[in-house]
Amino acid sequence: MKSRMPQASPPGSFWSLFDRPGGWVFFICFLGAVAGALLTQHQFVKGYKEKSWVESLTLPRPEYVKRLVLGYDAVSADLLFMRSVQAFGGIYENADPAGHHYNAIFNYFDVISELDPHFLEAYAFGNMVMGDESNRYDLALLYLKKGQWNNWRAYQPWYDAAYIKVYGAKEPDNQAKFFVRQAIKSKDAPDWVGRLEHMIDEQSGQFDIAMLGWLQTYANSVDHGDKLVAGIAKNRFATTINDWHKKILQDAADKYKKEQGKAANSLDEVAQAGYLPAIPICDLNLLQQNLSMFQAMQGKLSPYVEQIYESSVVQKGGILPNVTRPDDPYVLICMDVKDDRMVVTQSTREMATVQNLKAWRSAIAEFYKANNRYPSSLDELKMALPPSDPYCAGWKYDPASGIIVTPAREDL
Amino acid sequence: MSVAADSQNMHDSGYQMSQRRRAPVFSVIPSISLNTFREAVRNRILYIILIFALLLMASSGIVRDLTIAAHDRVVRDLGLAAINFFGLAVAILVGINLVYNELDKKSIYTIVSKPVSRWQFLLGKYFGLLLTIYVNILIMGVFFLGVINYQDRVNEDKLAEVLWHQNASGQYEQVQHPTLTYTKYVATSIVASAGQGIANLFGAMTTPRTQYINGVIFATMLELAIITAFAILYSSFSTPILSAIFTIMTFIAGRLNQDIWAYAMELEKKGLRGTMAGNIKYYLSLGASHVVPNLGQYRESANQLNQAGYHGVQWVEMISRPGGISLPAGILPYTIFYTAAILGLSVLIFRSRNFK
Repeated sequence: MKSRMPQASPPGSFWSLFDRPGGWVFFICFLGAVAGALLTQHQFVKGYKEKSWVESLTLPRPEYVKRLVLGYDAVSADLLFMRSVQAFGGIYENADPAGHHYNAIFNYFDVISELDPHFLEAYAFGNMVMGDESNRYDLALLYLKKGQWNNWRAYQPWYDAAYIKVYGAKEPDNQAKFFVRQAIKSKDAPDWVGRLEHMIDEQSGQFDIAMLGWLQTYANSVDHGDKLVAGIAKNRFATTINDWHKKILQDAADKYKKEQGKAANSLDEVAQAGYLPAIPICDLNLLQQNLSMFQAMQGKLSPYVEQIYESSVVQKGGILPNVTRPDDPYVLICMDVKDDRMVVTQSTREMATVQNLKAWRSAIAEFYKANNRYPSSLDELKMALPPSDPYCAGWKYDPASGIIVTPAREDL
Repeated sequence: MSVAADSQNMHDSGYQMSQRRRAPVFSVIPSISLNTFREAVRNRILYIILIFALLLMASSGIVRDLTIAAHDRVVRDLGLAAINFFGLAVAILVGINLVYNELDKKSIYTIVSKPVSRWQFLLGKYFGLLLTIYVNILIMGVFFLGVINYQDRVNEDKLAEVLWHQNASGQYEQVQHPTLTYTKYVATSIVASAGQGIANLFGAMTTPRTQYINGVIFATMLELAIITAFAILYSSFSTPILSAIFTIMTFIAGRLNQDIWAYAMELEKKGLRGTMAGNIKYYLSLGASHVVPNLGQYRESANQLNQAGYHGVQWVEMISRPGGISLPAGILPYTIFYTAAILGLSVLIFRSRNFK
């Protein structure tokens, strides 16, 4: 006879729990505990407040970290480097407007390069964070010096240091040139590294040396059939001539103001007063003719660069031209402060005028909105730094209509 | 015949008997080693460690995407650190139980009742464990080199070359069966990468990404020979937990050996040796720096080789850089002497140990 009793589950299995009433009680209590825990947890979660993510790059000093990683230096350096990449552009812990938190960031990168002094990417990235992102060129240079010392055969730390000095700290000095020369010596240095030296020469006012440098680059590129670099060198050469012209004109305008006691309103005034005498200057058109001639005669340019340059120098005086855009000559503009004058191109003066007029017109419109009338004079607007007329003629303002123009260009 | 002569004869005959009973050294030690190896490979911990290490290396492809630069370097460093770390884990976790298990399970009685000396037993255990670790390292090494080679073979550029081709009019079009072509290419790449990985271990078919990796692995193997000797030493007189703690402490002290010496020098430089306590500290740290294994030099060698490989330069050039540490010469003889000394100490302790 078969038993009608339900079959018991195998002992130890999950279902055997329900063979006895105590098992049911336990299971129900268990479900209750789980539900209670989840509910309570949900209450906690509801109380959470959203916080902005703050990046903390604070580490102990490099010598301590070096010991803590127990010889796993390279992989630790990699992990810290990856962490810094992830944190880049974030909100840093203890960030203050004075930028003191960058000392902690310097220490962070210092730790990486202590763990692996040959980690070139870390130097490049550290320079980017401290130099390019935060303008702490002092820290960036200090860090790159460590990179140079440990990797003096690699071009990167030398080049980065030169770059940050020239374009960041605006110090195109001998130290920057030294960095470039060290970078050039590296086997891994690309061809374009040396061109930074011409930029340094140009920015430090040694225009003739810069032009010779660009001319040599141009000649080498032409001889090697590198049209791209030849084009770049030619453009840079023309830009350097322009910068030189601007510098001569600016120096003359400054000298005029100093000696005459008042600033000139145009470059013609400066030239007529004899402040722009004839001086030896490279003529771009003549240079191009000479280049073509030497190319045709010798078949090569690079050995004759100095000869070509010297035969292209002519005595030039008066208002020097804008060689890249002859239709956009150099002019003087009146600056907003100290009655200074600056040499710019004509188109730049127009743009500055439009910009200044926009500022005035906007202030007049706001005044009208607030007072339902136009200001009786421009002084009534009480602007902290009233924009001056770049044409040096003074603004022409009509209180009745609120229209403001410059007498030199009423169409603007 | 005098009593002394009788005694001498008895001693000699006993000695000769024992010599006859003893099996040849060169067959006993390998037998115990192979048995230890077989026993170790049955240990599940070994497989867990191995799988974890292989997973970590395989995931290096994901990790390399987390950085904007130094991709190859990240893969390389992560893999080499994993080989070192997990090799160390095997040495500690398997090594600490080796001798203890024999004592705990009383199986030592069967071994010592056979014509096997205690020193043979201990050396057999050591070489068996070392074989286990080295086999593990070689598996990890081949896998790691295979992963690097695979990344070289299967990347976007290579796949584009395989899956697309230029037709007669110069336009690009996809191959006829892209899925099949892809599968075949990946499958052959896996096999070829593994084969190349084995060749790389012997310094053949290296690429700039795999250059000198075999050298770094070799340095790791030498370092682990010393750690394993310490694991055996501690295992010969203490419990597994204590052995683990002692071995880890020895590892830490070994890696910081130069700092222990630097501490002694600092005490002297700052004039802190005037007191007795200062003197004790000085001589203790100076003594410790001479006794503790200099594991730092293995890391230095590995780092130098790794750097040379990473930058694709000869290591002679690397070490001539200012700030570069001169490559420690003679790490191989050092390893042999130091390991022999530690094993000798283990034998001395083990032979006087009472198994009751």
